[in-house]
Amino acid sequence: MSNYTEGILILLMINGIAAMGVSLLTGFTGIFTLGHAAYLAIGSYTTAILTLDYGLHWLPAVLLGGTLAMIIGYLVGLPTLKLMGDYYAIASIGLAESIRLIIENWQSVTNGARGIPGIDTFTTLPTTALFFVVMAYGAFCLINSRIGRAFKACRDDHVAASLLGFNTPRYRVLSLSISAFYVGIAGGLYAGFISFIQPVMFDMLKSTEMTSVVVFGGLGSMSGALLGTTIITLVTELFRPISQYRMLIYGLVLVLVMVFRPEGLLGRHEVGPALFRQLIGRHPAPQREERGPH
Amino acid sequence: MNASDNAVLSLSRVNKFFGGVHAVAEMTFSVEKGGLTGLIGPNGAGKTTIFNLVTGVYPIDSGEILFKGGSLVGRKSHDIIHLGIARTFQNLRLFHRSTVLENVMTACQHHHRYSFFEALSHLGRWKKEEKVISAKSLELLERVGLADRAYQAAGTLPYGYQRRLEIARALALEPELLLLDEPAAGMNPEEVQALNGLISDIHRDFSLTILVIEHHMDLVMEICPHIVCMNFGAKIAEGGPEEIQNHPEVLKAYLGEEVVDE
Repeated sequence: MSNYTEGILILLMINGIAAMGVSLLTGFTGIFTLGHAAYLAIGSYTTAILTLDYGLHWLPAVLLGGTLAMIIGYLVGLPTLKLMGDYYAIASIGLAESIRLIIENWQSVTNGARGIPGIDTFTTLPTTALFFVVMAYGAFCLINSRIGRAFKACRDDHVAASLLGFNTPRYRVLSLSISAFYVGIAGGLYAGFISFIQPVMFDMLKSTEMTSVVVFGGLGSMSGALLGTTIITLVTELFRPISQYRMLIYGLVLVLVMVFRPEGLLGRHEVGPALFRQLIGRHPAPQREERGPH
Repeated sequence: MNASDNAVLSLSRVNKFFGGVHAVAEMTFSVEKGGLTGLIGPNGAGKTTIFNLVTGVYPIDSGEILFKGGSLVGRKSHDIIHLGIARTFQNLRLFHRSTVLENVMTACQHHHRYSFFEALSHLGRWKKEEKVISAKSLELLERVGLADRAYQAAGTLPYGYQRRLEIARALALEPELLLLDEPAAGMNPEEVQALNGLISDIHRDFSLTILVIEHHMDLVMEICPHIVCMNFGAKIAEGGPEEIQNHPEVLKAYLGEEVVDE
């Protein structure tokens, strides 16, 4: 396998981890975010600083990056997710910009706008694959559990959810914390992949892109989010030679999907036997117990 | 009326204002343990507001609401539900795109919990508890006659079935007190008759206390031995079906006053 193919595969999986994080929050819990680049930045910078300045091994550094992103997500979520609505979307824009500005101005720690070069390239294909498989397994398990059902209840009708006994603010904060953890881990792996990070990588454009791939793939479908991010990553990568038209094609793909399939590529379906049965018009037998079809 | 020792739910002098509208005025009544009480009144009388006050959707402005002797005032909705109260909604609040079964499972899971890490890994109690949750949910669907529709999206059910699904979902919370908000709305006479039977059956089999808001007089008169009638936010009559049917205030509220030419 050439270095280039390997690089694309790694990038696909890193973006996949981030997309699953956003999907959990936006697709399954119904909370829009326009600032998830903040958690990506926190993961990246934590990993870079801990490995370079403190000589920490990359594995605990990545995990600590994810954990710090999770803690920040939790703290931001507590006041902003009390009420349902678009408060968090607005707050997340502010959060992302603040985090970016802090990184840009905290020269002594983050090296400011010049960025941090020379990060160990620990993100190899097997490492990324391992992270991806474990985290994808966790995400799919979660959405097929009592917690996933609670998230979906909060998304579909938060009044009904609280009158079915769910403490909806608590579930929303939980969803955001897990989401931030996923994105933070993706950020850490990303730092180890390109070995040079700077604040401008984590701007508003990155945040919107992270949310749009999930909408593109289908809100409420984990495999849709993965499919969406795969297509968008490939489009942006494969058209690199004609880079002046790259963003044009990217925009065109998004517009076409939203026009012809506003619910996203997969809607709320997951790729799997249930989708296949749905396509050929057969409902699963009622004996199926532990997993409802999607 | 004094709140008797046997009361599961009792409201005393409850008031609620929406701006200048006195939506609930000095409302006092209680629901006996094991009873099947009807709450009737013309449109806009404040019946659903009573449910919203009991379940903590709105805070009350003054008065006291007791459930099994403990105050519900100031409690959050989700806490109140865990005390043993469940309700359905006049304007159906199902999770439309989830399956019928999933709707019930969502409510059923409170009594069969497993930890966050078991949910994340599908190890430990996950498999066993999920099996119990879906089996119990299917049983409830069977109960309300929806078992054969378990895997279709809830939003695709006919209206009458959606109301039954709401009842199944509320029962999945294993409540002591069930609040039904116009369960027969939009149903034809045969469906109302079947619903009548269903309500009486679950009342008996689950040893529930039920408070039902209803516009179909025949349903209320047939199944509720105790009826509270309200108008303009205040109680105007209380008693058995006979008593209510002949109560002058009730007749006035429903049929209007006789106009005497002068």
